[in-house]
Amino acid sequence: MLNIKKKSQIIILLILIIAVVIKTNFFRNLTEVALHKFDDRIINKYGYCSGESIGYLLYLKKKYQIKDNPKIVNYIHTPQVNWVITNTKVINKNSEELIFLNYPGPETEIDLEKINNHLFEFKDVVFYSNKFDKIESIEITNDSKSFEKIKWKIDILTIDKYRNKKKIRTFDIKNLLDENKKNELNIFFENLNFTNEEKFYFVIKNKNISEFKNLQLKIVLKNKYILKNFQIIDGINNCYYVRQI
Amino acid sequence: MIEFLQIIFSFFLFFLIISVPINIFNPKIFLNNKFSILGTASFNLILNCNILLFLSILPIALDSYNLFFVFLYFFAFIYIYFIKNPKFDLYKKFTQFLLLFFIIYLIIATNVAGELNLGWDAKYFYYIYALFFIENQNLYDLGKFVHGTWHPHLGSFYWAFFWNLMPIKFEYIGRLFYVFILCFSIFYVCHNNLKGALISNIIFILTILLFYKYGRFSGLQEVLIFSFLAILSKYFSLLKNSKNVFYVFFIILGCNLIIWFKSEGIAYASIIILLLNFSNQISRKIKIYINISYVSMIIFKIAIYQFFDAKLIDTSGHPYYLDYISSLNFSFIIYKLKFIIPYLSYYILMNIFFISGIIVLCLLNFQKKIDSYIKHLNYYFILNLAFIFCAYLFRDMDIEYSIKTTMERVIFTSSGFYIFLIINFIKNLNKNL
Repeated sequence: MLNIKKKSQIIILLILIIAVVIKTNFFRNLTEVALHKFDDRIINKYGYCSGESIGYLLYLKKKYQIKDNPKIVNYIHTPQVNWVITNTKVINKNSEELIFLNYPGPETEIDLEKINNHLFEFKDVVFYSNKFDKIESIEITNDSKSFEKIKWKIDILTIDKYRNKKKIRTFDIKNLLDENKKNELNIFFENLNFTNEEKFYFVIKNKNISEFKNLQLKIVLKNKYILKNFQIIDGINNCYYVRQI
Repeated sequence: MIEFLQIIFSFFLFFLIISVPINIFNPKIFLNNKFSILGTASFNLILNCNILLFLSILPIALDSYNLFFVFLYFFAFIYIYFIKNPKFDLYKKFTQFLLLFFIIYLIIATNVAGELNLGWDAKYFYYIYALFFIENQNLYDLGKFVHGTWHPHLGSFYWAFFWNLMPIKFEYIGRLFYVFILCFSIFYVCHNNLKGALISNIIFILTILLFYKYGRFSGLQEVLIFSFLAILSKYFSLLKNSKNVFYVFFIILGCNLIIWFKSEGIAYASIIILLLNFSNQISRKIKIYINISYVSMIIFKIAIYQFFDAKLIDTSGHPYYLDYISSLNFSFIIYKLKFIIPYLSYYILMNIFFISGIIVLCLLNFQKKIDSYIKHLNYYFILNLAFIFCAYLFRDMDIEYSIKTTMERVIFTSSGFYIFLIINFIKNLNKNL
């Protein structure tokens, strides 16, 4: 009887070990560790010139013997990537070189997140405010087939962590709705003085707004870093290692 | 394949940390009382982690002592176990006993070596701190780093210490020490002695299976506090009478480590010290010593961080200000509570150890005779909840963002103290069947 109990416990133990092996992907990991070099595994995990682009940073570090902490500007919101090339001995000194990762060109379009037909949020505004100079323009799109002329008021406002509202600007939009015409805004980020936790909203003031189907707002941001103003040392796809001219 | 051999080798390196300086098979040489093998190994772990803490605050480059440290420990190991008092039969039995621990360590370590991804905070802070030590800078150079004043350095120092020891230097080897500490703490909590190990082994693997998530070893420090809380929780259950002064001593040393892992460590350590003060098994005289020791540890930590840089790590960069706390009004507190309560309930329900801990605690409170360990856990539960509420109410940060980014980890860290309660409960159930 005791023997049966012991045997069944050993079987349970083995099943549980197998469960741990499966849960942790042991054999896949073992193969990766045995067959691929550490640097290759890092590149596979983080991407070469996409997302965190750690592969490209490792390549630059090795090729150019980077030891002077160039500023890294990653246009995709990922965790910090400086850890790959940080030299702690000169940690507060930035070199004249810069590294652009996932560079989008001189301007980029951002879809605002629709909360309802009246309210749109510009997510991650602090992240963009470090890389772009200004909100250049706004574009309205919808499924409406009518050539209705609209006359809207849009409030741009921020709400801080204490729930205090601050109106940045009110502007009028007057044009035919189906034209998807860009409306100039020219809101400079440096004038907004963001702290880390502000939310940025566009509020449409119009009573008939719910009539419009699939209403979307897009904004165009103007890049702070224009490539032609830099000397390109190295570049692959949208990743560049540049020096200030 | 060399990498895999390094992973295997790392186990033996970490094993030195739990086997020296106190002979785990014969602790009487150092300690008067008789302790279990794993109990003594846990003393070694806490002792050596404190020694490493001491080394980390010296203004000396890591390269100049870490190989020497390991050689010293290696020769001490040979002397203690093979020259002074060899017990080969016991070693053979103990090696068999440890086999499962080794297998589980190896499986998890391989996962860490395969995944490699670092956590968000690890990329911002902990990896860079470790890099400071790797590049032969010391604690006092950390002030040069903009975020160097945000978090304590000890976990990163361990990371750097073991990363630097290997012939081929891979950062994750340092993180494997976290894996070792976690596996050891759960193994210790599950086992009492070498006998009847089968059911304890089943519980050990089951716990690992429920616990395991790669992210815990992505360079974040919560797993260290979790592990030491699990060990200290077992010490509390062994505090039977005032003769157990060694447990009190090692609880204090454990608290000393916890306050150097993360800023909130001070809250956990203070709760543990309060529990010691509530204990009937400890004499008033010893309680006075406990409080003096704890206050000295806190003052020592503050002094170390202020000594070179005139910056207090725990206050700079952290969103807690007296002005903010005093300006909180009733409606804003209610607004914050509307976020805290549902999210707290959700994260508690999602954490198997925390929710099981609460359920087991409730069940045991209905027993006729409640022992002192259950009383300690009741106090822990209340104080821990109070800490969580205060931490979010008094935090000058967007409440929703702050909760979403941190609360899961706070609940995970706190759950370490319940592990022994749950395991012990399951073992007792098994005995009664």
